[in-house]
Amino acid sequence: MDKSAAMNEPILAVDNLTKAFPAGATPILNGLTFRQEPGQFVAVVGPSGCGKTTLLRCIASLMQPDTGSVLHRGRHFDNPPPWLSVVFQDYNRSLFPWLSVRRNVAFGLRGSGANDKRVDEALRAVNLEHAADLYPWQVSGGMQQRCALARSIVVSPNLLLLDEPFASVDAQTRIDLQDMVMEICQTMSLSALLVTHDIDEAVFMADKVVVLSTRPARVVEEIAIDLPRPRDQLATKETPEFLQLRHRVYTLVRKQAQKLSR
Amino acid sequence: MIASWEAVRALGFVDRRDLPSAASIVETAAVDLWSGGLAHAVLATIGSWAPGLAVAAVAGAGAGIALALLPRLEIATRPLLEFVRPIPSVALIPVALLVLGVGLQMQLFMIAFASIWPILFSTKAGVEDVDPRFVETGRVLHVGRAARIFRIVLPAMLPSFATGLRTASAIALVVAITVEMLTGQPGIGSYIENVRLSGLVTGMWASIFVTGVLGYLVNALFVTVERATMPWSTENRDR
Repeated sequence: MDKSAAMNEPILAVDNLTKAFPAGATPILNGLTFRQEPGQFVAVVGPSGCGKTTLLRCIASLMQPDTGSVLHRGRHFDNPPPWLSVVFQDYNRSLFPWLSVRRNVAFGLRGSGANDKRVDEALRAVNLEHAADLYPWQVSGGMQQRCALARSIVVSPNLLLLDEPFASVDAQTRIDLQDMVMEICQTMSLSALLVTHDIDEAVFMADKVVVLSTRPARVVEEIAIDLPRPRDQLATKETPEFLQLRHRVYTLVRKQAQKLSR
Repeated sequence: MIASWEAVRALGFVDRRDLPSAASIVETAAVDLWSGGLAHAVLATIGSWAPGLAVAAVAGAGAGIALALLPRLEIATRPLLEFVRPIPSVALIPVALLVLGVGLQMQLFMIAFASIWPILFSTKAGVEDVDPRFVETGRVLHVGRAARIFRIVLPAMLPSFATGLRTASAIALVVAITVEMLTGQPGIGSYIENVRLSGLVTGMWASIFVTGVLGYLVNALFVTVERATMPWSTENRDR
């Protein structure tokens, strides 16, 4: 495949993905298919426990699907591809407590040389220069998640996977982090895949919302979110378009959740 | 402590000649340390304690890491370890005497054998308990398998290793002194025996007191080093 063909590939193509975990159990994912174009911000929502995290682990190539495929720019990977970065929900389990904020951010960088500059830039992007020499456990939850964010962008990825990244922080911090992530994706022309249970967040941040069914999860519907950017926490959320889209996604997710409770 | 000591003396259950006053014990301890005999004994004990513990630390950590990372090795050696580990180490003194004879070599073997277990098992547990999310984080940061062991697993298990080492340091001291008492190897153990046989009751208590202080200082040393080198471990945070 020549280079120009590779450029036209979707950054991520999930095709007919099925995964049972542990092996032999009832499948968690069942024939799940969707695509993500370069530069696109995709949010995956679904009822709780529907398998969003399993999906993300398959997409990150941390886990291999039973059938179907995950292609990154048309290629299969056994390990996370070099241009992919992940921000996990539980920052206190993914930041290394024995390293300072700065050294956590630098962890994925090889060699030294120009690294200091890159780490400084990443720290600046998440507003964390003042805490660079503290340990992660000495700073607030929001700051820890910003540290994790800096660590994932310092390697200049093309695709950022966000696994419920704002679920463990308070409401105001969550709003600040949402704005920060959108701004970073915009300036770095990053594609992002956000897994979340928060429908407002999904509609507010994404270009496309993928709604999953209950277990075993498949794609119920893909909804294009054509709200103009930059988006504003107040103005965007008050537009009739936002409310309509939110209503539509909410209805779909609730329908699935009701199926589950029956 | 001094009050309870004096209270026991006052009650008179034990002959007062066998229980000298706290003040005379401390005074004798100071004099015996200063005059050299007891100080030499303390240094001799440290001189066998430290290398014995060092051997146990290296071997115990190495074995603990290997057993945690290589499940097949763990399964193959489990029966052996389960059998050898519960043997009280002092019960092996006759065997060690038979094979190695009296001397520093035998003492070092005994210290290392007795103190390797807490190090080995805490290191193994420390490696096994490393949060899988840490390792996964390494994978998504494109850190290779070997580098993940050196940069993630080893630092993450260090506090467990340190706890094992601290426990082992106390055991090593007990065994060092026991071997000295039984075999006359120079050190606090043989010093205590000698003053006891000479009928120097206060001198005997003084050397026991010094032994207690040594044990306390050893523990304090390890706690201090742990706090200074691992401020991030959950045990040391907020101190």
